[in-house]
Amino acid sequence: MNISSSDLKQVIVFQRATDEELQLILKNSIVRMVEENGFFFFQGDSANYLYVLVRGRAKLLQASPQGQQVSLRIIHPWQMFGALGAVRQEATYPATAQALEESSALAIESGFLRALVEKNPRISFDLMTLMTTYIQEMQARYRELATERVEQRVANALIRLAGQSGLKSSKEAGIELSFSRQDVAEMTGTTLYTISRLLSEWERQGYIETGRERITILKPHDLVRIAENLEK
Amino acid sequence: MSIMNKDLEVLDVTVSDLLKSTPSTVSFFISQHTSCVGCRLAHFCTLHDVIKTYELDEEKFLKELAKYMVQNKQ
Repeated sequence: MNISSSDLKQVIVFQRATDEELQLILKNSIVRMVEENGFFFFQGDSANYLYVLVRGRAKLLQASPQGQQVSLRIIHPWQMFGALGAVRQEATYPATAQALEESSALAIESGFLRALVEKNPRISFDLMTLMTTYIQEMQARYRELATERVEQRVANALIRLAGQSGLKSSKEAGIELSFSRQDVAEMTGTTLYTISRLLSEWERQGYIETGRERITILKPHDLVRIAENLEK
Repeated sequence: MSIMNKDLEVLDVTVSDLLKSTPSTVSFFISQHTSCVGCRLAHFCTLHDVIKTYELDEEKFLKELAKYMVQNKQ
């Protein structure tokens, strides 16, 4: 596969590199082809190369010590991945890169790019742009995990409870549930504090009404909307 | 029975009962852009609740619904 220096201009980190630099990058890299489900590198390997995906699609996975896997991001052509070694000399890959389909990537020596970054402030600046974009993405995901996901989880639990044991209340469209906040906390793997904060917020919005060992769903649709991430 | 009474009765039918008795109304709910089809709380909501929730025009809603009920009979 032939990659030209103008192809490399599509990479955010290389958009302002000179033609000479791009030629040098190409000289210090090799193209690696990986078949579907194959790996470019594994979490914990020495980060000797950084990659630019040229063709196909890859995903970055991180495994917990218990072996649970989390998908961190999907990589598309001309995106850089595994670049930690370009910044830190002794780095290991924090994640595994697996090809989702037959893919090719340009493997660039980390040491070579590290030297280039030290010489060319534009490249280091563009690398920072890429990194800050990633940080912001991760911050948004962290917020979703910490807040929105709990909201969905709790809404889903209430809907499930309504379907199983809810009674149509005398109030218009209301559904009566005989459960305490503690019950809901245990069912959703959250804390009583989180449940109380959430249910109070929903009560304030008029979605539900709470009492002792009792939750009344006043606006079923709004709970479904939260649970299913509907817009309206 | 007057038309008005009949309308009132129809409005008291739950979404799940209507979908069960008249499956062709699936298209009706889709045409109204509601999320009723497949909703886990459909057996708690009456048509009246649907109109209120989505702020729909009651008269138009019933007129449109009637079309789908007729279609089913053919």
